[in-house]
Amino acid sequence: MGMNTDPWPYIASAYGLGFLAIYGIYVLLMLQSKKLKKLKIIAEKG
Amino acid sequence: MSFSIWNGLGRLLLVAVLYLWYQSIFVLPPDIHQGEVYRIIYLHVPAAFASFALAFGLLGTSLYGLATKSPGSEFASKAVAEIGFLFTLLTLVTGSIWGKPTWGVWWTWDARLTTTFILAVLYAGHLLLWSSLPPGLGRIKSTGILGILIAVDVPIIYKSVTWWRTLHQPPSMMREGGSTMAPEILSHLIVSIVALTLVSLYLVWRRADNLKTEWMIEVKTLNQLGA
Repeated sequence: MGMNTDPWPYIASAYGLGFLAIYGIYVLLMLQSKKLKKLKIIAEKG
Repeated sequence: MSFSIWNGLGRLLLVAVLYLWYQSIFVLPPDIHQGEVYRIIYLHVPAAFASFALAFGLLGTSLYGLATKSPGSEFASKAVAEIGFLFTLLTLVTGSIWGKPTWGVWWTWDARLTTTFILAVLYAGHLLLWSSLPPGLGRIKSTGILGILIAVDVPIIYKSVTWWRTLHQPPSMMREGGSTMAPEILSHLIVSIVALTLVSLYLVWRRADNLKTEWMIEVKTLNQLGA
């Protein structure tokens, strides 16, 4: 590694993207699950 | 165990991963050779391991689907391929971010990088194939065969650094004569690998459950329309 390179922007970018990918997908899955529960109740009622 | 207990455990794991990342970034000492930037290893390697584990998971769901023709295997395969694709992309992106300060380039067509890129393309191909075919035996067979091919790529990725001359470093965890890593780094890396792989399985489980519910709603609606 070049001694003049500041490593922190690289570390922050990697973990920032990791956070967005994993926790972003988790939030989307939870929202989808909530929506599907409501739709399931409507479908069961007919 | 009930759904809510598994769900609670999954959420606990998500919090545990955040704590592990805090330790990876702020608590563990820097590496002698690479300094601070090596800290990306605690995200890059676990993401890669999870994407490989999911490829073997896809092999399992594909073989199960081909053997039983069960519609349940279709949801499981799709969920595994989606989360596997996500973790493969994360592996490629974090590797690229790590590559710039250490190798001086964001990307190079090195054997390890290229074979991992092929894994991402195969996962994407699986998802495209799944979406473009109607549900049924044809889709189970086509995606099942592709699922098996995806798993074949994993040993090639693993051996790529020893079969070809590459810029990527050779294995430092699982190698003859033991690991070259400091015990402190190695133990934290192993815990991070286990935690992120379990998180990936939790995400697969949640996605498969959503796909199954979607299918049940569709069947119920179609039955009511038919009646």
